[in-house]
Amino acid sequence: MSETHYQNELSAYINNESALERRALIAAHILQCESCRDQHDSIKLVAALGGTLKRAEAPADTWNGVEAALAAPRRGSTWLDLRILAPVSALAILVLVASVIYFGWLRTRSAQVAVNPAPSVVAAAAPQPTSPGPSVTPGYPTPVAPVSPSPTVSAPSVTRVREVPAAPLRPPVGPTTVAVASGSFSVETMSGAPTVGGAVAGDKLVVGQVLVTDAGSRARIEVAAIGQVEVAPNSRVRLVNTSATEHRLSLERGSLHAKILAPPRLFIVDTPSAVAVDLGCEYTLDVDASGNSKLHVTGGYVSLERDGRESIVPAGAFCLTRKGKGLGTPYFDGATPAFEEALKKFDFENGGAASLAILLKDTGAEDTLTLWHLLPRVNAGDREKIFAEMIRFVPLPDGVTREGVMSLDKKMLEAWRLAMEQVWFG
Amino acid sequence: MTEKSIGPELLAECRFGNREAMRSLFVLHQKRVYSVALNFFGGNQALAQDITQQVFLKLLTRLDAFRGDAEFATWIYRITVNACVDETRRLRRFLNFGELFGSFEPRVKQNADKRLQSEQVADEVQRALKTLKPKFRLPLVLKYVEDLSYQEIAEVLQCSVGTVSSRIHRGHKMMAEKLGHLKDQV
Repeated sequence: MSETHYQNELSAYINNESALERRALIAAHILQCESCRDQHDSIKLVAALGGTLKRAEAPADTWNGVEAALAAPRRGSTWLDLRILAPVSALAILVLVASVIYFGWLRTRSAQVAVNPAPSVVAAAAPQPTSPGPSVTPGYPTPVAPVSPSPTVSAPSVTRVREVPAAPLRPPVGPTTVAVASGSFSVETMSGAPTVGGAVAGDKLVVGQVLVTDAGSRARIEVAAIGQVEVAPNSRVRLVNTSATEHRLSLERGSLHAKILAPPRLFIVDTPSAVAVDLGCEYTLDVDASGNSKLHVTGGYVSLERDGRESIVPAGAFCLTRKGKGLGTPYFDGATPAFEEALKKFDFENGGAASLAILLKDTGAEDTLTLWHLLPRVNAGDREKIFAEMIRFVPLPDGVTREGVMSLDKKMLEAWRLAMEQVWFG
Repeated sequence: MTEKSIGPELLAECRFGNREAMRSLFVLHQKRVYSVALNFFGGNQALAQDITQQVFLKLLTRLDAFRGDAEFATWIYRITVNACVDETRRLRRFLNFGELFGSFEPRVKQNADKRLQSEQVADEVQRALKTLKPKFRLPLVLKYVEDLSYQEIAEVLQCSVGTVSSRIHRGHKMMAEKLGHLKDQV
């Protein structure tokens, strides 16, 4: 297993800022390394959320403030920064105010000392009680009024026209979905009359719209510049999102065939029972009226995911899902009907030990795909039995131990799976 | 980066003091200035408007300083970025008052029942972004709001592409820690 990780390059990779040769290396690595894949998904989430940050027009009266400031008298022809002038001016005003108060107090006191008037005379000369603070002798300016900005402060100042936002930050979008990015895919009618949004399909499928085919129609969707999806008859496909970081469809019913040439995890198809994440591949995905799905991969890999579980389905393999019951275990298309039936019972009908016994009987090398996926899905006793069967076909590679496999060490399991690929694909 | 290029005639008219030309220049570029400021300051519209006015006032009174060795848009972004950073420093001096009396940043009235889910997510992203240091926040704003390339961001921030790449990545990781719970919202 490669020891080189690319976590520090994943942001650039997701933002299409990596050099081509690096992209290829990183894409290949993500397929193998769960740690980098987790990091990739986490950064991709942030990149997608970054798409919610919107541009906005400045409020209509913004220019008025600029124009007013431009028209304001300026000291000479030099623009002095407010950030320098403001503190200096504020300090000057404070000194001025303090001086006025101090000298006012001093003068009053001097007068008191010199003339020694009766207290009633001083009271009559003082301001009304509504002005708290030190007494100010008439004839001196009051310390409050001159606080208005001096000419050096006001010229040229920016006029803030609006203090409190009155409008929402951005126009509202759909009530249940986050419009990470808007966009559309090109659509081509292959036969019959597919519809989009209830009308005869044009040449676009916009985010949020549903493409529907009846028994006599088929359509082809261009997935940005990364591939094509053919929609079979009696299908409903919604365009969920298209952006630099993700192209996402939802197959609500029917069948589609996808052929994608892109970095892993860029193209995703939701179904009612699982999410199919493209790892650079070609596949057919069927969804029946109950929301159950069947995936058949014909090139590359697809990751089927649901509730934190993942089935990595390689070319030549199938994987089933059942709505409400979860994700199935992948199996190669050469499996016997008995094997398929036992797996179905094990995955969705609590087949337990009886089903497992059939799965472990007369296994072939390709069945290690299924057995490898079963390792974390069984108890320790059954894991021993599965391990014993698997080791007959694929020896443990360097660095992988029986104990590691039995304790479900992720790195060791991944390394062993890579070794199995040699057996699966010769 | 050239959303709409500015012609030398318009620039010359602005330098001459032609108010209509100045207004045209404002109309051409106000959106990028306001958008960067708005998202930099967590959606604070009043502050973003203030920054926009500051930037254009500065720009229109210093047009002679634009020598044309960079794109005009780069120059505007640079002034905007500097204004945002300066304002952040200025606000930091008054932080204690803000903490004492609650945030002085006006926000759109919260009404969880009526607000749309998407708006809540977008607000949460803006709030998370605002907690980042400016050196991590700015490249993310320029990337996701203005859709600039790493090279263009490097020109605006006057640093290397490697630095931009590193800061965006660190910003991503910090944001991921704050926004991981939104996984199901996207």
